[in-house]
Amino acid sequence: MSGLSDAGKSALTAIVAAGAEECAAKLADFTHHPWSVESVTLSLDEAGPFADLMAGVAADTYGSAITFPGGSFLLLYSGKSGYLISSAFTRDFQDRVEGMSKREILALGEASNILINPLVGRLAKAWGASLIISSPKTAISSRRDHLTRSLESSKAGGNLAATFAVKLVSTQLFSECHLLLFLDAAMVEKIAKA
Amino acid sequence: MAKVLIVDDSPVTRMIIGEFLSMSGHEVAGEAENLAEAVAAYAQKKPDLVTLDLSMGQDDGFAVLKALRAQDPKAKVLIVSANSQSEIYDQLLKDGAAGFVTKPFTLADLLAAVLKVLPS
Repeated sequence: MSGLSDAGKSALTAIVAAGAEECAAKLADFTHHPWSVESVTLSLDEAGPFADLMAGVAADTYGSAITFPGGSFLLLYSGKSGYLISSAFTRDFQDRVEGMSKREILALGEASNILINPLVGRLAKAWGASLIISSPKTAISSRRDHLTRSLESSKAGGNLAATFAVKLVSTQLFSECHLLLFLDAAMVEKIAKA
Repeated sequence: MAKVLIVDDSPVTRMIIGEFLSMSGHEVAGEAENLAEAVAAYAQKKPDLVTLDLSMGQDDGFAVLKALRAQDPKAKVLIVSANSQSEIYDQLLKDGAAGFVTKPFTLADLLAAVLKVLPS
């Protein structure tokens, strides 16, 4: 991974932290409960800031994978958080969504798309070009499996330079969302200079 | 009231837009989740308005917008997206988009945007 200067790390972290605050505000907007950013952790190490996420029992976790030119996102929701967030998101349409198969997966995919876009906007501004993200691919698996797949995919291009782990929490909705951001070398270099 | 075609790869968002439009007396003429379906549905239903997402699997909203405007240069397309980057909005306007709604949206947000595009 890249040898980023301290100033570069600070610049990169400031952009992601500001974007994360806006993601929390978006989540609050469509779940009708306040959310906050509990932590923003940068890692330039291939192991990433995932030790806590990799540890523990292999419980079912919803994972939404999103790509964009220069990086990718993985959003993780525990089974309970996934249920609560998707229910809050579609609360005005419960009678309609109850008939949908895989309703949590469908709702969380769209929730991920909505909540991540403020951070994408921050990255785009620093990158100096517009960014359109892919449609989210959402599935249920263990956290370890979701992370392993995303890491393998990010490393496949040989350009993974930085990883962020952001934790968003809502004490009122009893929910949390782990947001992982994988950035390519070119993106990191450009943003760190922004 | 308007006949509206909803183009979005998320069934949840198609449902929400459809519910809001129906509650307001508009007619949901059809739904599509990709470029091919959007083009076919537009030709068949001839809607007054299309709501269009930007990130949709293989097809991005730019491609769908261009295809619909090539099919009917007078097509009125309302972009409904979580993306709020001004450069993207500027380009979509140049490509013929009639307006924008940012996700998440309320009934009032959607209806205000529809009214702006279809004042009559």
